[in-house]
Amino acid sequence: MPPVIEAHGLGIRFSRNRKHSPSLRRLLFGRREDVGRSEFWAVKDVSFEVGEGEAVGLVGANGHGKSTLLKLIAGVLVPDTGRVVVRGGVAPLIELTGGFEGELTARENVYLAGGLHGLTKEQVDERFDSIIEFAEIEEFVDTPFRHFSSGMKVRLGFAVVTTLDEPIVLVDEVLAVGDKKFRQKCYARLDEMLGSGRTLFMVSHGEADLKRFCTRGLYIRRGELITDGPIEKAIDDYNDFQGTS
Amino acid sequence: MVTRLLDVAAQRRILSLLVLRDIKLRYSGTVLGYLWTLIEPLSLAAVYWLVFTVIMGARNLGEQPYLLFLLVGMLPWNWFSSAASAGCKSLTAEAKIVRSANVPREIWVVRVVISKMLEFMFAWPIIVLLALLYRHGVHWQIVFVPVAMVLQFAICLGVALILAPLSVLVEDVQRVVRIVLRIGMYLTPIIYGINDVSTRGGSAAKFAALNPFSGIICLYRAGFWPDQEAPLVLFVTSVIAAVLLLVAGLAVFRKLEGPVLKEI
Repeated sequence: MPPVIEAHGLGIRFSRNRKHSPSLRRLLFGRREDVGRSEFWAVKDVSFEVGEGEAVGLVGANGHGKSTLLKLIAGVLVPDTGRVVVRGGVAPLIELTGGFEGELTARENVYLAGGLHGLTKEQVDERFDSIIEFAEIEEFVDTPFRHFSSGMKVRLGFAVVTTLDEPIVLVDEVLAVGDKKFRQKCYARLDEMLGSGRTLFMVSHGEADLKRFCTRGLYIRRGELITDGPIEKAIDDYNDFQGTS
Repeated sequence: MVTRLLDVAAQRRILSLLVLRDIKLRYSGTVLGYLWTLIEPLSLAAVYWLVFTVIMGARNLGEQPYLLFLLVGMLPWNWFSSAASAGCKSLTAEAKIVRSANVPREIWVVRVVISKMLEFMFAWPIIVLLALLYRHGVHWQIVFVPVAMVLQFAICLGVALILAPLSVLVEDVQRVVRIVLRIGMYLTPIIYGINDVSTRGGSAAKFAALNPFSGIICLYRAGFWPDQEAPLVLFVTSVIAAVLLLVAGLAVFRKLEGPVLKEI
């Protein structure tokens, strides 16, 4: 069976400051591999494969490319070098409130966000009550989204994305949100999803979370893949490096 | 390139969801709601009518009834100009959604062009109403209207696909667009007719022929005033411009997609 996620020489660069952003002429007519002076590689030449049902944790310091790599896999960033192949749909727990519109009510937003993630109207109908119940916003179903507290917004986002049937789940630090009670619910929901044989790819700073959910670990430093092995090994390598520097 | 358009077409469920949301947002916030779609162009047309025929006394400008003549030209232009300016903002205004949804990114631009097209279509009752009020007859050339719409859709989409990524990368683009649109309106036969320029001949006529929008406006008007039927050269210019702009738009968008996603 082919791997569900394949990254080959994946790389993306950003410019360090706005003033020196690459010129339009180069963007339009240059080759993708050209590098400007003030640019740096956020992810550089990263290759790995993830098989079906694996649970992979991504480890590394802030600003070393973890979230960027996750976004490349989610297809919301386009790599400058290499390519990423994802076989199967993705449920992205990234920027949870991204698909929501402040002016619309929670109900309208659930249909909109569900639709953006590939659900049909009937599928949203079916899941609507359980989404609202999970997010604990029963009284505010017809309230404009902009009146929601930030906690309520994130809960609703989490509830919508975790209701998707996609076989690949991407998680970016979202377990750190919400109060303790809701966090417990999130853990339970993730456990439930993983139990049904889905592939997990997760970014987190919480060692406990990583060890709890993941079996395999990738350690990224300055955008480059340093370790690919058991999660404990990746975490140890990361801690060792943090200790020495 | 064509496959990207097919990808967008495959996502038409999402597209219709987004367009419906636009329409809902557009009409839900105001007291008069839909009526604004009629009031805005009507009031602007009234101003032009006042300035040109009453104050400046240009009796033989365009065709009669002048108010109807103006509106048949202005409504398509509004579609184009609002699609161009909203196209500039189509990626930045929705940055959060664009950043988090893995759909063919062209969808955000297509969506704006369709929304503006629907607003254009919703405004047609004014034209019908005025035609009835003035008892102005309609000729067989009215069948050109859908042709004009197809051509205009391609032009709007092509222009918006170029402007959307450019204005993310270079903020000045929006200001340039605003000025060009204002000038463009006067260089297109909207407050005047195609015959007003071509009878004067010379370079003015040639310039009108270069403007791909002239042919389109003529197509809209021919059903009401067969005299306004475009010379073939204008029509051909419009078709060529539509194809070129659409191809260029798709190519530019594709090329700039990566850099744009980093910026927003």
